[in-house]
Amino acid sequence: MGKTILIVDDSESIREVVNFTLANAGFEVLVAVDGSNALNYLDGRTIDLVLTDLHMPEMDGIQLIKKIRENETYSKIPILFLTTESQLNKKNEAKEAGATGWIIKPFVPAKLLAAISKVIRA
Amino acid sequence: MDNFQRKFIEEATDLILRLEQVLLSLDKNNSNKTLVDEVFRIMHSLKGGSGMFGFQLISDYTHQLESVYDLVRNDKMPLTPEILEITFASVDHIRNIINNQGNKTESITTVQNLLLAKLSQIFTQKNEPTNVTVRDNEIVDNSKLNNYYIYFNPFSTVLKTGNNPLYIIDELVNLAKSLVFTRLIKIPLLNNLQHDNCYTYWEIFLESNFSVAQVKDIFMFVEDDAEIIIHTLHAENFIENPEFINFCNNQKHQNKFEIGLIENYLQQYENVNTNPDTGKKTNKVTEKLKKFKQENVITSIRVASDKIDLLMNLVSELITSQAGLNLYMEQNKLIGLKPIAESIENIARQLRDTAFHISLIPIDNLLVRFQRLIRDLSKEFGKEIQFISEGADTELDKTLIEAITEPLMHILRNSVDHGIELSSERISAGKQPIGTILLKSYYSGNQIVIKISDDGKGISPKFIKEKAIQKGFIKEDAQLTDKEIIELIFLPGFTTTSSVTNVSGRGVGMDVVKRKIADVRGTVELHSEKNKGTEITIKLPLTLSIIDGMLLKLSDIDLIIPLSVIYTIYPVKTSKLDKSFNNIITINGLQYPFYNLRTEFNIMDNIPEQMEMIIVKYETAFVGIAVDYIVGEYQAVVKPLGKMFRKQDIFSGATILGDGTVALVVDFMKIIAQISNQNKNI
Amino acid sequence: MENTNTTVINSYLSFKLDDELFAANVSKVINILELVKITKVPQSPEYMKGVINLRGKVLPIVDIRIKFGMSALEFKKETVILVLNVEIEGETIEVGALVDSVQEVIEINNTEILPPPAIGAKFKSKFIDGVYKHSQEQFIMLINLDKIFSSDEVIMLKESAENQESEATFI
Repeated sequence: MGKTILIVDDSESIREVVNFTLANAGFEVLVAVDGSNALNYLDGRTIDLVLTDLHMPEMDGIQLIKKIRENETYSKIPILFLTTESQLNKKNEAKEAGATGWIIKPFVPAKLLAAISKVIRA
Repeated sequence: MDNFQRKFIEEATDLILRLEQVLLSLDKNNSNKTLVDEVFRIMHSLKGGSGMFGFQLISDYTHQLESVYDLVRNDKMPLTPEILEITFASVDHIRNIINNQGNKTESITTVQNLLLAKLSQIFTQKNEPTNVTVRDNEIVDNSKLNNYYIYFNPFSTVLKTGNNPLYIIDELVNLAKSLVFTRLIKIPLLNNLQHDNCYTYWEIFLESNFSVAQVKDIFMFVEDDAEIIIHTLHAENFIENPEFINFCNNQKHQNKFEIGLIENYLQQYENVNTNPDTGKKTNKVTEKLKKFKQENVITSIRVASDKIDLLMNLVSELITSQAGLNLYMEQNKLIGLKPIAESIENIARQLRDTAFHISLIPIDNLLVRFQRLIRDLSKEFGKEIQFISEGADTELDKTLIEAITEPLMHILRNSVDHGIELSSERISAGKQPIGTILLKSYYSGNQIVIKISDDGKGISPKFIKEKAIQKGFIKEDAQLTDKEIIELIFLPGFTTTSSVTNVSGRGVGMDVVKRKIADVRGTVELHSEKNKGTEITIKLPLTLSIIDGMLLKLSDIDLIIPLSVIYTIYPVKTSKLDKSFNNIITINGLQYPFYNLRTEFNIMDNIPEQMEMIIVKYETAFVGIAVDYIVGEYQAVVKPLGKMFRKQDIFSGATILGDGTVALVVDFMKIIAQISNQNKNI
Repeated sequence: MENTNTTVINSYLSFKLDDELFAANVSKVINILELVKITKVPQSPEYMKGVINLRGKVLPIVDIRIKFGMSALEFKKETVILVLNVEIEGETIEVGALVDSVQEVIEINNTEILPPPAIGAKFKSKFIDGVYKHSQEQFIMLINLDKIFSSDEVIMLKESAENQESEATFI
């Protein structure tokens, strides 16, 4: 039984490359284009990890993280956020909102998988 | 990744379009926060994506804009018209980069540098640090094994953030040797125990080649949620020692080691030389040695060229001998030898390729000479010239390099002497005062192209014509096109200098250049435009001196062609060739233009009933060449035919067969070209 | 070449083309080879007979009879190949020359060398360094190999009605 990862990003190309990488690594992947889309997935199914961009229209990453944590079922799951280097100062805010860790864009697939393995195992 | 890149390009194009729209609105109302936010997000997206999909240029550029707009949206900087203007320019710039597939052209680089400079000015005016977390570019030395003591005490809330300390321990333990002590003392009584708290902490001894920073990285996500101590120990090889393990287990304080005690105990495991003075000294020596080793990692060695020649000769002889072996084997039907012979052939082939590549030299080597030459000449003539080279890593056979050095020097001399004008003249002609000579080399198909161009005054056909008439090369009323006139330069004895200059000499003219290049089977072409400049193009064949070939027979002549030119081979009845109309033959339903080598070479004896049609690709068509029969594959050591045969180009060399006879290496492309030209002139 | 003030003795190898005697300075002669199968190179000038394998090297073979405007050489028992060292455009290369027979090594005193007689307007004196009176009947023409092989022309040594066609320049 593979682990399930939910990815949330408003950039199609990022969604695709992350989906591709994770699927090849043996994960089940759920894809959301923004915050509300992501929240729709929190319907009781098993989600082992959430990967979200920080800066998105409508609901940004921080808000989404807060909302996920508010949900009883998903309050403890690891959440990693994607951000660029210059935005790393958001780290604390994100962590305060409940994020587990982060990945800096641009990243090579190996880096993505390494960061994920810090918080879940396939 | 191509699909992803294409996706990104689509996305980026959309983003840029949207950005343009947003900017137009912002132009009217620069206080719209939502729009500012959107600009920021667009930059953020572009920055993140471009770096991943091969558009580093965009990534570097949007980085700055992202920072600017971050400040603006956080009210730390006003959105000035200047910033807006730069952002508008950025739209065009980024669009340009995308259309250029991310390639760094000169104009794109210039624009980027300009815009970045303007942006950085804005920052310095603002005195705002440019929100960039500078990464520690630590030079990581992973050759040494380090020993650490690690104290990892996570806060009880660590699990709430989705982190799992066990994964971290796992990662540490997977690095190399480790000794983990799990401390459970924090675990409270059952009724006080909260199920989603973490009460465990760990003390770990680790031996790994990771640096401290790299070990710290493992704790990245929890660094704010735990007490972490990483202490470097100077002892070695103690982790798996049962005595040490015992020592640890017997420690009085079982909730945290007294590191002082541990270190004292470990002294017995330290390097003998850790006492302050000698310790430092050996450290210095080892440091130096390490540095030396790192610096002197051998990536290239100098080899005397005669050694290379010797090597090549030996390889050639090996291949010839091996051909003799093959022949003997076949003649005496020694099937048992076949695998051995094939193995030798294989190794010989690889040896040949390797030896050949060793003997290739990049044109780079000549550049120093050229630069010196141009610098000296510029001074002598009082001209200001810059010399640029492109493709200096194009590699040539040593003999080719030697052959073209003189001609190239001569061409460069000409450029300086006759081509580039004096600064004053250039300025009056509306040019930059400093002239440019460009040497460009690259591979094209199976040729090496070397172009020397200058932006000087060019060659005037009128001037040449006059000189030619003067010297009696042509008649007064001769009707010649400009191109034909310029070709006169290649005539022996043609020199346009009225006096013998120090440098250009006398009689060493373009005819010699042309001849020397022709000697190595190359060609020279000259293009010139008055006041614009002159460009000389030299094309040299990439000669591999040992080729994988196919041995053919034409009457009693042995021919070799490179395997690589053969597309396919069909047997044909000779009568069909004779009957064919207009030199077109139909084989398997396909039509091919063809040439019968017997006809072309006028070999009329012993005409066989059946011949073989070898189909080759010539430019965009397939052409057939008919020969008597195919003998088989043959690894040929190509020897030059020599100066006596320099006037022809259909035979690129010769090779010695296993039985000592000479086979000719024939260039089908040149034959086809020759026949086509003849047919045109009929 | 030789200093005409001092007496220098040089050795020459003489050979025959038809009945004419020629000689080349021994310093230019590397070897004398027996006739072997010559690989013809199609589309080359008539005087280029082809190539042979000389210890792994490709040696061009020239029919110097044709180069001197004579009829093509017919292979006979005495036909040999002279392997010569010639200088063409500053480069020293080896060339094989087919001759009808090889004669002997003669020592010639440079003072005895006579200037080449002018044989008609077509004669190119640059190809002949001089003439030596070998005996009462025989004159030996001392040829300049470098110039001969450097030139693509057929060198008419004798003017004759049939050969009025002047130099044929082979390209």
